[in-house]
Amino acid sequence: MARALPAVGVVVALIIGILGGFFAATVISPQERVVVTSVATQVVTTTATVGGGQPMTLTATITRTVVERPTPPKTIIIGATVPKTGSFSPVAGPFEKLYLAWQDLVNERGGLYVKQYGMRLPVKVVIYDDESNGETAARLYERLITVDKADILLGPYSTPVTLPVIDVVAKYGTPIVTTQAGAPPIYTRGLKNVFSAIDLISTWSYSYFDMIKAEGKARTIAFVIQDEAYGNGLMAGAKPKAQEIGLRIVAEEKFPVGTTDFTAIILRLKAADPDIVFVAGLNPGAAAFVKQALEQGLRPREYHVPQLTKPFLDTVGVRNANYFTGEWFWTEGIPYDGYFGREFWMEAMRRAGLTNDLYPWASVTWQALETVAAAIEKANSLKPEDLVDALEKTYVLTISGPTQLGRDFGQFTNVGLIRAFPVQLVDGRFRVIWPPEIRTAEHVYPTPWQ
Amino acid sequence: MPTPLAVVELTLAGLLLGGIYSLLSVGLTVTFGVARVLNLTHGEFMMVSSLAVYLLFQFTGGAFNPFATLGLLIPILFASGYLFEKFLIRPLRQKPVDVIEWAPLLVTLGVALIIEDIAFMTVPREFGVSYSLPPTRIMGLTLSTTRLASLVLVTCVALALHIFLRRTFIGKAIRATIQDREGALTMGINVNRVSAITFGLGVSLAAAAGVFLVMIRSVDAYVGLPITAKAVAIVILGGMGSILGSLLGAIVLGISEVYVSFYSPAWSFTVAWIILIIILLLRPQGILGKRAERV
Repeated sequence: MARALPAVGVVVALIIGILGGFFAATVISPQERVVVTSVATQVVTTTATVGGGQPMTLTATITRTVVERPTPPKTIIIGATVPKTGSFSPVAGPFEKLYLAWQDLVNERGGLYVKQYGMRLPVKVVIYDDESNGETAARLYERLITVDKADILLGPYSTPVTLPVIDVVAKYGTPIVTTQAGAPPIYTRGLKNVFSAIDLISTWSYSYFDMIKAEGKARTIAFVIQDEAYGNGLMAGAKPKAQEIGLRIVAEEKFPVGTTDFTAIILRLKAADPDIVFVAGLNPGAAAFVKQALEQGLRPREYHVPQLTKPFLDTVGVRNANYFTGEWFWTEGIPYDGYFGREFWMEAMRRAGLTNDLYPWASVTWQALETVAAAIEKANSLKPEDLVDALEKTYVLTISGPTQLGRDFGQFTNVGLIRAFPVQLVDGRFRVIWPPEIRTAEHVYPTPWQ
Repeated sequence: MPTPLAVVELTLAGLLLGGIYSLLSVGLTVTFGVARVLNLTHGEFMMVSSLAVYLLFQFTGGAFNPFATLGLLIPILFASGYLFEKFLIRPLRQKPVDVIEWAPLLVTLGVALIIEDIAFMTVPREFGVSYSLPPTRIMGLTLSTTRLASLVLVTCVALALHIFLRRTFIGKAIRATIQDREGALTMGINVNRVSAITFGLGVSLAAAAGVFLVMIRSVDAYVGLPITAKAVAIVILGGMGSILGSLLGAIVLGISEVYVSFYSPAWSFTVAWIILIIILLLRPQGILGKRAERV
């Protein structure tokens, strides 16, 4: 019996070896690249007589492979600029706090998982002030790529500032997810490393018009357009869509940024008597127009003001804007949890000291952060080509619903799916009124003027 | 062509806009006339006044009537203007002549930028007040009651200013100093004190303009310098140092802007500068300014 022990030992060793091999094969996924730094092979030979017959020699080769991953970086570096100064600072300057709150929250839960290293790594968001200026932003993004060695970038605020940045990132190939830049020229150049989580600006009002068509109550519409990128971008889609659903356009009034007096426009709109007055403009212009229009007795069946934000309501008054409709990318009642969960988003906003009604573009920034995080966790490595590949394939549920970044259509490349939701202000609270599957209330039309 | 009713509405809108411009430009004119300083902080004081109305309105939950802030803000900003002249402008008068020429301009520009930054840190976005009154309907016209009330109050402020300048000793001293600074000095007028009072008066008028402006549109921390530029254009249009000229220039500009915007809103901004260029070419001394002696 004692002579059989070595044979039993060899059999046990073989079983352990086989199990070990199976275990190793399941832990290391086939896609994962590993670095084999040393291979040690040991041949074990033993001779035993089993059952009193001829002696039998067993030879087992034990191979021990030491697998070592590349040294992980200390942090994943995400580069961004915000307009801390300059003309866009009131709207997006405080987003630096949102980025930092996101960074802290992600790091508190251990960072983002990076497949290449098989572990979570902390994130670091490097942020500069682009002074609301495209040329400054372009210089800073070059710095983020070449000096700070950012792994991935988040775009600056607005299309005019983003356009010069795109030239820089195109040169280096670093992936970028734009934040509040929905104008077509950014996405018509076929750039593979430039992505947007949201859809083109021209489509943002489509849901509103879908609702108007489904209801079939409104017949005419008047457009009041602020002559700048946002107003014109919105109109590029809103006007053809309105015509497509059978609305008759009875007035189309354009005004320059900084207009103080709207009496002339209001007089023409009174004469046109539209069902809907659609105000395609940013504040303070949109608010100044509506305030004066109300004071001068312009009472259409509905005011549709996409920028139905707190600065607008501060100027016009919550009571005066009762039953106004607007377009938001997120508000209470939108049922999606998002990539990190609703509480994570609410906590980040709380830490940043921001509120959605005061900074409605914060949710769009958040969607970009969600898509960046999803892509990093999906990518094979932090190399630009792997991140671009992951972004192209990323289908992520954001707080505003699902988006797919690698969507190409017509002349556009890498445009996301997210569009604005029509909302209605009723007695100081915003209600989501379309699409039917997520609406929290019925659309009240026409406005019951007091 | 606008209908007769539209003409009435447009003219009223132009008069109100002109009224607001006149408060600004008259304030700038008297300051320039007395102190010989182009006060680039003028628009900033207007913005500060708008900001104060906004903050009061917000903190009281809309209970504070913006018109009532006039009574509060005018004395406070008068004192600010007085102290501004006393501590920042007057010391510069003791400097060499070449410094006096440019230093006040730079000081007022510097203070303007500081005020902008402080205001921006206080409210880092555009702001407005939601105060409004139901429209007034008269003979088929639907007019803004807030605007009508503003127009009445602007007229009252202008009349009060007229009476102050015509009937009071200080008012007469201000006019005398505008006409001939050295002459006023020889007549025993305390020009330094008049200068400080004039700064206070100018800033008070800017404050009044700020109250009315924030009621018809929202503003932001950086509205001051562009408004000052427009006020300078009006002062040149009316004639440097001419109070009546500034009043007239402001009304002309307000009505022009509104009527031009009826046909093409995009040109309503440019109209001020087109009128200014025409006036400078045809009548360089402005509408009511005195022609300078040829050297």
